[in-house]
Amino acid sequence: MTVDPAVSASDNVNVATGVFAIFVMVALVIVYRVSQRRSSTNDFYVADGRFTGSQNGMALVGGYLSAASFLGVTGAIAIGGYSGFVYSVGFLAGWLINQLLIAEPLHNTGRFTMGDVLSFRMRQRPVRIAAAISTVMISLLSMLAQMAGTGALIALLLDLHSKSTQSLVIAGLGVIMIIYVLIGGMRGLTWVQIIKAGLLLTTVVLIAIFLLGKFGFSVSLLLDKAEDISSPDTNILDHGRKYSGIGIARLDLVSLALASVLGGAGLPHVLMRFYTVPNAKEARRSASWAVWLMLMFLLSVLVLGYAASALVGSSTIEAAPGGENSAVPLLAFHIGGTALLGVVSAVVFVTILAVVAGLMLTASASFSHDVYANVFHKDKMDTRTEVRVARITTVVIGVLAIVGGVLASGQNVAFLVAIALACAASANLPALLLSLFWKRFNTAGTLCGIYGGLLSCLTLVIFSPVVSGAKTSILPNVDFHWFPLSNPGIVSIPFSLVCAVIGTLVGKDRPAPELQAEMEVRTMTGIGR
Amino acid sequence: MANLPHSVPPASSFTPSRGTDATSAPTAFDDLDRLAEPVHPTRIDFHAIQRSREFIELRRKYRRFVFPVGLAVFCWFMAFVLLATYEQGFMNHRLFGPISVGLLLGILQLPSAGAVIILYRRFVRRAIDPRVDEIQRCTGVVEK
Repeated sequence: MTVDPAVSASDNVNVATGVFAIFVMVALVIVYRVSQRRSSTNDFYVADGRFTGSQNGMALVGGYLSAASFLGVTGAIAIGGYSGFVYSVGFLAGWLINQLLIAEPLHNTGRFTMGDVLSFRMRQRPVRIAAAISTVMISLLSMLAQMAGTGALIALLLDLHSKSTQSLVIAGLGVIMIIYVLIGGMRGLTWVQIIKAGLLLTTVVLIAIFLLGKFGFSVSLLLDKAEDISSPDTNILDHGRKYSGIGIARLDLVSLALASVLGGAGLPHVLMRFYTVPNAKEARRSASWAVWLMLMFLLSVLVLGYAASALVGSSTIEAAPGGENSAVPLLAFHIGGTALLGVVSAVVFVTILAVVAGLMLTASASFSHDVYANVFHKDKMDTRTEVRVARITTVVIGVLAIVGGVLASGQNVAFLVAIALACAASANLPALLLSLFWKRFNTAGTLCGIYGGLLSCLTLVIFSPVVSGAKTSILPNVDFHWFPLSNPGIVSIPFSLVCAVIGTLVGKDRPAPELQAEMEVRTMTGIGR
Repeated sequence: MANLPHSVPPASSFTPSRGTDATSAPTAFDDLDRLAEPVHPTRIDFHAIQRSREFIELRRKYRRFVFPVGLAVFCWFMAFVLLATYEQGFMNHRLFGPISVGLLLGILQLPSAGAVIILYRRFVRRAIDPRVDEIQRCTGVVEK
């Protein structure tokens, strides 16, 4: 039962490279075919709003589901049983909040970025800068996490441990992403994300069906097996030992869950996708499609997780080099040998590509639209210059991501994703909801909410065990931590909400009543968009 | 709520004074495209719409659905998280065969999400979309 992907590494590398190369080429052709020769801002940022709800729903899932969520969620279920659901159903709840409160109002009031909505009835300059800082920071954190995590995945999936090979693959991925975004803008990116979502969903659904077949389509047999193989103290049907630590560890999990629900509804690259459809009804459909696809994904991943525990064994997975991330590769190797492992590896790299390219475009759009065009060069810039600035920013951000990814490769970067989510949940979501639904909300409140959220998140992380004071810290040899949790969400989210409310009440400015009227009417009806 | 008249009375309060302003005609289409949000079309009287009975009714209906349901979604999920974290004895309790309370509650999260989507879509189709269409019609806005 001790399968090690390393045994037959070369075969699976070939399959993975082959499948991945086919994807890259097909995507490149499509990106080139759909691209516009003379791109306007409307085309580059939001594809002229030409996508349908179902296409956008696919792309939402394609841009949202990261390699970490695919591998990590499956692994968490394989090791922790139902407690592993905490991560995955958090996504689901976040998407429901998107559907209920965000998708349509956001589409109706904004045009390209989150800053459009936040600054609608506020003072443009400071609010747009704050929105851009938050967007770029959250995107960079997520990108860094993905790119640096790629190194570990290369080692895990392809068994390539040489640092230079890993760096080369990271740089190669980064260059491909930059090319996609430069050539295709949002239109090309959307197709990349659609194909990726299709590939990922098809793979997990087929594997799940195959696995169910292996257990005679009997769920209880699958669960029984999963139970049998686990050693008594890690009985997967009961609570995994992983999260059943002392009080602090439990609170940390609650904090992470909170950030994953509320952060999922505040991620800038998700928000931006709601502009790529022609009207509010299509925005609504996009969110519904995304939820249905997520349901399909989670159901499949559930089967994969329990099957990994049944076939490979929870303790084997936990002891494997990649920990819970190795659940999927071990399972794939177990049921399909090197060929399936190769396919799954390729899908993982495609996933990284689509997600990071989306983050790249979001960050550059926010910089060029919110900061460069609307703050530095108000009234003086034409659309083509703005697109050129966005393209240059894309390259700069892409290079930053590559360099950061190579430098941080091999470090434990999982916490970066958690921080990005916590930042999105604290800095973006409260400000966004108050801006959409609270009449009195004003510039001071917006700024306090965004900066309060960002600063509290960062401060708490810096003084948490993530940075110092524990064996797993970035600086294990010093100890200046005073905040006990690794996930700041449970403190930073309420804090930023309080900041936003106090800022509003203390701040002297009142938003112009006609702008408030316009925003409220547009939020609900789309009139004036 | 259910006893309220279903059809919206014709709106007399709207004052769609379109075409009356002659300000800032864009010189090039490029610049039209570039206009940063928010664009403020002065030709639509948003105050009148905001104060109209139809709009107030629309807003009330919408908020009375999405806020409680959003809160319920949040609480339903956090209840699962809190139980999974703090009440393991309860969650590990076996109901039948290999199914424990935790597994059941966890899996129930999936159909409940689907139910929320179906409920919401039905709600907007019945209570929101007709009202939005009516307001758009009265203000002379044609949906893209």
